[in-house]
Amino acid sequence: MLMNRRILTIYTKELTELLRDRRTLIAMIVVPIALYPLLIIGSVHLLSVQDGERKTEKITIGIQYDPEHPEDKQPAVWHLQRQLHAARDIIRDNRDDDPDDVVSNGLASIEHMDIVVVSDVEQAVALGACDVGVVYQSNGSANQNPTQQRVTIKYDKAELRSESAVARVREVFELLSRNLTMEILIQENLPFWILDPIHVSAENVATPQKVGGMVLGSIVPLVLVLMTITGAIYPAIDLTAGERERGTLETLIVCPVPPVELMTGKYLVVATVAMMGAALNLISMGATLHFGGFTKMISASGDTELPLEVLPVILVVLVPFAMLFSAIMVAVCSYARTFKEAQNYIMPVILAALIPGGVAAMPGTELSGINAYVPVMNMVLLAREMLLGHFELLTITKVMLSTCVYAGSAVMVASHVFSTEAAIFADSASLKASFSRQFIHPTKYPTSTLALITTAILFPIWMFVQFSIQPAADQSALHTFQMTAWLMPIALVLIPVMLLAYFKVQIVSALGLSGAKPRYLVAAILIGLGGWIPAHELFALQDAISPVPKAILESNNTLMSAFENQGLWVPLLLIAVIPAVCEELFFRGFLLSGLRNSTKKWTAIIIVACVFAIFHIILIKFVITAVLGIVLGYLCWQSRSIFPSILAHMLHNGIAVSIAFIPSIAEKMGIDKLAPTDHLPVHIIAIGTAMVVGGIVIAKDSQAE
Amino acid sequence: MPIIRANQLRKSFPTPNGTLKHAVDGVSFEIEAGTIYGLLGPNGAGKTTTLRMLGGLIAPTSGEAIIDGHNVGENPFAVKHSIGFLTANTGLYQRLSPREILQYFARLYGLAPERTKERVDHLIDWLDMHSFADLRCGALSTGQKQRTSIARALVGDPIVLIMDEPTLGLDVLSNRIILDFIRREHDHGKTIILSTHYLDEAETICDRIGLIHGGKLMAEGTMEELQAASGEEKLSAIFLKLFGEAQGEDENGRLLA
Repeated sequence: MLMNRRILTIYTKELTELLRDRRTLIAMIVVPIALYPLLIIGSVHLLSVQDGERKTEKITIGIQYDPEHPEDKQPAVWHLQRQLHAARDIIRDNRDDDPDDVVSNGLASIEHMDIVVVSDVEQAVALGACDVGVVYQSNGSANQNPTQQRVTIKYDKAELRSESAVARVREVFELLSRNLTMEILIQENLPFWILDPIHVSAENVATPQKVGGMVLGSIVPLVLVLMTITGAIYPAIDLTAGERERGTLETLIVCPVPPVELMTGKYLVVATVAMMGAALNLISMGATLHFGGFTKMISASGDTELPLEVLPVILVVLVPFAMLFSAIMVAVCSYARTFKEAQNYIMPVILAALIPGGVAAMPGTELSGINAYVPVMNMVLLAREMLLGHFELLTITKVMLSTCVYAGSAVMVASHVFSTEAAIFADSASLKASFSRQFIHPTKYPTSTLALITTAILFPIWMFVQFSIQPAADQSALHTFQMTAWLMPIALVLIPVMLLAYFKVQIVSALGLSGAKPRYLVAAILIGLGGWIPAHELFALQDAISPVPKAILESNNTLMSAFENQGLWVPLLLIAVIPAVCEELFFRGFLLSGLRNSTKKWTAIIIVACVFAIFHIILIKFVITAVLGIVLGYLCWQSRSIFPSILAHMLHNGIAVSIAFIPSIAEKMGIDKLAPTDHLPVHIIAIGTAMVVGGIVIAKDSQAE
Repeated sequence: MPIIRANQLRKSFPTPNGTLKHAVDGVSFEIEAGTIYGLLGPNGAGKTTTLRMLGGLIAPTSGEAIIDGHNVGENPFAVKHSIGFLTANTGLYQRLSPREILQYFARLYGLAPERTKERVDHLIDWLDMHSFADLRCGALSTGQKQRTSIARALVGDPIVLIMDEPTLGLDVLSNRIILDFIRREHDHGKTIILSTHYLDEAETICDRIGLIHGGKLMAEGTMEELQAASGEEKLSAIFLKLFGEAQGEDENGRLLA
């Protein structure tokens, strides 16, 4: 465990040094502890003060009069004044039962109204001479015969004062209107309920915690994400560009320590500080909300309670996020030679993170489909779901797994950049020049960095493609299969091949396009033909341990109906041939050969198999796909050729399709109408297992070179 | 049996205008165990790049270097274990003390905890660092920093010590301390390769001297051999004579130090 000890040494030293820096301490501890109480309490106070002020603020109401009839001027004012007095009396009459009620506010809001007479109400409001204008529409009829009265309130929507004034004046008239209705009802001897023949009321069934979660969920996740990012900035710069600027990097490179370990140690420190920052932020925020009277304030009506106990859980979920962002920051800062340069690089990264974070914070964005795979967005959404009390294991797994894929790639990139000669020795060469194509040496295999970055970028793109071509309700699933068949070669073959060409990597060796020895093909045939049997049993076993959702089990039927009225070659081409070729070229070709030189055999095969499984969206089938990926990866590694794994993959998928579409095959094996969770007859299991094991043994034994 | 062997070492860097610059252009030499070898040349001659290739910090574009039986290009980690490297503009961690820095690097070299303490105490004795061993490096003088850096280079108990400009920017007193130290290490059987452009310093301390200019090794040998070959007595004269000739050949009209 020498490697771990060295990483630990680096980790301890970097953390010690960082914590001795006053700037870190201020950014990490003082800011969150002091900031939240000030920010939250301050803004809450300000809001409530403003709100209260607006209700009691003096407003001016303008009344229209006709300059040609100056004698109407005073009566109009009196009329409005009478109305205001009447409203005030109504409120006074009702006030005794509940003096704390909004009615008392209403009283205050009526007290402070001034009336002015203007010749042009609209202009007066627009110029701000009065806050609102009241215009009575005279209908000319006698007062004795009451008909509907019409009042128009003119206001300026662009003025906050005018907007709150219109609400207050409108309240007055509504109050009068209600009162008038009552009087009429009494006069006509009608019951009051006639005003409201169907009384509708909506009742909230959400628990107070859930409502509180909703309140917190709209803001807390984004703030936490931001704080985590902010916390990582300073250490990320200090440990990379800072180290280079101070000239200590060279002394580190002199040591017999692989750059990956150096980088891992440093990266873990950044992640730790980011986590500590996030934790402190969370504690400070929680404490402020709890003790700052915020809870009491929003739960005055009793139906809101902040689910503060979920916050620690969110902190746990934040771990992979902190790891991802620390990795990205460290990778970005590794390109910089000076502190200043690093700061310039960081800004776009933060802005780029804000966009998905902001989109996620908008109400209505849901944690489903592609959103579960978009970095930052998935974390914000997951935190919100948790605050709402939704804990869905599958979704959490999706978010965590995809975040881990991104984080791993970022760390690899960082260590690659960090060990680039031009990056270490500022005086030796131009960093930019060393990235230009003209100085790239032709190589046989892609670097692990190229392979992993490409994978990390393709992953969300491929997810997006998959979700966007899901069939609509009226569409046949055939459309999805056709689209996949078109897009897969572009995403998984064309893009990697173009990248390989740009970076002067030999396509033939990188994708393993050289021929394989016949025995590997024999092994591939055995595995391809027999593989579905253990795979089927594994799935049945998994179902026995944790039952598989019905929808997944029924996917076979949708498959069948999608290819109705099509020849067998259509599903064979779309499900067996194209995916086998494309997926093998990408996973076993591009990705595995990228890891071939820098990673141990089994680590590489397992990483590729897991990525292969994650790309297959349906997480229920993760285990089976991963196991298949391991077998295919082994076949490819041993043979140093892509063809055996393409052959095995194609046969495997082809058999699954054939069994589904040609009932007589299954009948001959005595397994007609095979459900995905049924067990196969023992002799068939034995044959299938023997074929796979035989194939693996052949691939293993013939490792002559 | 030479302990260091450089064979046709070459290093080319891309430049921003798209051309290649040959910082080191086919340098070959051998160094016997237990000697002090001086690499002399003007600024930009390729001294530092040569030393960095020997130390496994950068990979040669072509050619090879063997140190203590390990090929630097193929097995840089084995090489790094057996060498100590003192860089020219050495930085120290400002917020750590010399003792902490030594402990850190000792662990990076894979020393066990008890061995680490022993080694660090020994180096603090050896370089007389007691007075400042527990102060933060940010507060040390240039000479104290240089001693700390040397101790850092020695922490893995290397058999070969590579020193890039060890006396650059030091006052007379600190200079004396460093030179004394190099002699003492030499007396203890260490092989030392150093680069400098202080000629008299090289003359007094080095067993063999290599003169490097424009990425090429112009002349190499003991002081006597160099005197015999050039017909000059003083190293500065030899230096000027050789580089004067070289300059005539240099189509770029490269400068002299």
